[in-house]
Amino acid sequence: MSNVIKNDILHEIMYFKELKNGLEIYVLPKKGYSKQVAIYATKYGSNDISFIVPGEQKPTTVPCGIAHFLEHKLFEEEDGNIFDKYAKLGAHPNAFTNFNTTAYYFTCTDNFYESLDILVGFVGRPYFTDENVEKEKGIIKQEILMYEDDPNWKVFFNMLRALYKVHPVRNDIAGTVESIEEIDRELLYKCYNTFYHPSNMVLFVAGDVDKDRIFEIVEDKFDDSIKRQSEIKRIYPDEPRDVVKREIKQKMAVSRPLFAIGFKDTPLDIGGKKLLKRIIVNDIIADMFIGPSSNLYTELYEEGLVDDSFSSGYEGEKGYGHIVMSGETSDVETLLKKIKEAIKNIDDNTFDEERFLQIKKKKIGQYIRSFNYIENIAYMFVNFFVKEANLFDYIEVVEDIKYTDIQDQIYNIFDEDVMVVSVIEPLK
Amino acid sequence: MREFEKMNIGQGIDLYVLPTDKFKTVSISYCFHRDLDEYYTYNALVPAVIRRGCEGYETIQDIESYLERQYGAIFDVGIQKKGERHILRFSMDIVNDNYIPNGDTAVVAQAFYFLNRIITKPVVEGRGFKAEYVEQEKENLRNRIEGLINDKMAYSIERCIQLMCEGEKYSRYVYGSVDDIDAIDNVNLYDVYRDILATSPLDIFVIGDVDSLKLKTILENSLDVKRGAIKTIPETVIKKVGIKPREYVERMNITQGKLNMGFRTNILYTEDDYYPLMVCSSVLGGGPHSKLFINVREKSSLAYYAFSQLEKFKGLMLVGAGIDFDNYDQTIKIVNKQLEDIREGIISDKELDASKKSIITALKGIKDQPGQIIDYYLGNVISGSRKTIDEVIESVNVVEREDVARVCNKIKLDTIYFLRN
Repeated sequence: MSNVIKNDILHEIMYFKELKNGLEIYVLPKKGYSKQVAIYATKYGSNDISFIVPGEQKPTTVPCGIAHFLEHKLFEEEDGNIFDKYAKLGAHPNAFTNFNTTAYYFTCTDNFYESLDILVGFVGRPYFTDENVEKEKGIIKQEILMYEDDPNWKVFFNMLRALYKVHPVRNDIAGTVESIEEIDRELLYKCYNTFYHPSNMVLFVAGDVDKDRIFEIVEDKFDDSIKRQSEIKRIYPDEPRDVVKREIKQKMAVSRPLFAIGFKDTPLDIGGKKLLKRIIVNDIIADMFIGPSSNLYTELYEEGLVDDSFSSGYEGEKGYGHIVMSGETSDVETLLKKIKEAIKNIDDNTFDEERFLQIKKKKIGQYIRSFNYIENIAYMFVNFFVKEANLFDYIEVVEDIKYTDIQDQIYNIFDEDVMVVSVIEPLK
Repeated sequence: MREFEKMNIGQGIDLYVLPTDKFKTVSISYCFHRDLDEYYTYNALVPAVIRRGCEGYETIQDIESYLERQYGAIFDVGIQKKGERHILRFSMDIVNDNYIPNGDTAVVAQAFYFLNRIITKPVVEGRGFKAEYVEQEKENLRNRIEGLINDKMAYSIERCIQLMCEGEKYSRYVYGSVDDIDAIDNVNLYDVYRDILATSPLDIFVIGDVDSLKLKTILENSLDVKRGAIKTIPETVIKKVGIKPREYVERMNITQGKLNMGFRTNILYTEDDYYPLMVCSSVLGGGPHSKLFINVREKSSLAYYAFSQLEKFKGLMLVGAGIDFDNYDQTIKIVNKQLEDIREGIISDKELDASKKSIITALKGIKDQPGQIIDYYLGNVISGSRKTIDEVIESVNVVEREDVARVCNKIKLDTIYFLRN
């Protein structure tokens, strides 16, 4: 038996089933769609470098970049690699690793159930040898070097390093050329066995599919004897509110400066709808303060200090969160001066209630629109799941946000003491 | 999938409507076709100036506030390069009325009036656009063109194409040239814009839960663009003979080298050989099933990415890889070896089958995305092809190994470009 979750505004439904081993499976039918997507994700990302394996007493600490390394290696099998199997079916497989998630997925238009069977199969079947681990280091090194040359990536990660003192969010997701050298077969197995247990994972499917067949296929992939795993204790150091440094600069081959301004939020250990609400509240604040319909953005744009490369928003997970404003500019100093002035001059007019309601409307429209694209639905689902929220919670949470929620948070987040500036400067 | 209903509404304007309740939005695109001629920098500057405002919404702030009130409608004006053609595209994407929580209606109809106002009533002063907007956007455009170097992969691809197509219109960068910017002012830009409106072939695409006849009426009532004699856009030139491969090395302070190899396919999009060509490029570098992925990445650990892609309107094939500086010769050798193999028909059943399936999956996937559907049919208008997506799928399906080998023999290496430290 499966459960049904409905959303009347979206006109969408989702079927849900939890297996005895703890794996949660969700299916969102999309009638008339040519494509299907399945995403199989573990709550395990680059932040999880220190943890206590269930059943052990002592903490384990592993090199940075190991979750991402695992993502690469799981595609390899004793009898070849998984790309071959998908190629035969015309399915497009891929994977990503971020701070708190590793996700494997495919899209296809034919042979969906076979492709699904392969997905659940290969993620559950690690095959690491000394040789194949060594070989992967060359490929991952090229991936790291590619990011080393990407100023948008660098400006953002430098900002995180200025914002966070101890939290592992300050580390590069793929690790460094040095840290991946420390990774070996045994470490990979240890992390795999800890974090790839079904009770730490979720499977989500969207497309014109038969839910019962999906539940059946997935259930058959697991041995009945697999029990739920007890809790993995993840060790994140207590992150203080204050920042590491106010400014971080690097020179690269760029045409003009790139900037990322971060405002560190009070780290909160919350999840679910509360976390979702916090994220949306801060997103709305960022939008009202410096979004495209704000006075500040208009002023900065007209003075040539920002252009349409500019964006702003909030990123938040359990234990950390920050507002980011980033883009290219020809004059970092003046831009900062203006933003700091605007912060000092914040009053009730900066955040008037009419615009608050207008931006809420925009948020709801954007969310509804995202259900046009099945890959998007899948990414969004996983993103919400890792936060312990449900995909359909969004509209309800937005509608519940009151003007007073915004007012309370403005002065907390826009504080010069928790503001950092990361700049990539041109070489010459 | 149903096909677009095409309606000629006179004055060189075609309306394409695809009524479907599959999507939660209505997507609208007005596409003005221009030759990629010496006014290309003007064309590229137009969208930025138009986005600044119109009568009734005189600033970006006014426009953005309007869009927010329309449940975050997406509005954009942009320029695209399709072969030796510039497409000035006004687009809007609106949440369909029946998904709007509080029963607000007519959001869709309003969008057409809004777009018309944007197109026909820009902010003007004297005989030109508002000078202040033009001067600011000239600066933004300059930054945008110069900012191409910030993305090393995109930069290396663009440079390879520019060097390869030197002397051809196609070498013109989609966002124009910094050398042209100074000569542009608010008056001459406005003249170019009025000419665009009056003389460009115009295609209007609409996808969503709409009634095509009602929509035609809304469009005819809302649109009041002044039209003149409609220009014919020259065909894109596909150079076919006498290529001597050239090598270019450019230096920059970077950690990973970017190798790009540019080929002439000598095959038009409308020729039957285009389908084996699609398969050929896929066998070479169209994904994890491809020869480049296996031989450059998996077997030699030389790169994280290695790909081949087609520029369908100009008859180009581009190969790219991010590699260590020292691996330049080795990587080129591997790429050439793969091409030789394909020419000799050394393509396994597995490779052929996987490539065809991969292309077909991508083609079918177009049907799930309004933007991609519009892009596909816009491509048909440009190339003169009348094939539906399903017909292309059929043509790809029947491609044989010999066809792939045969078309691969037509592909000639033109330019090797390497960005290194």
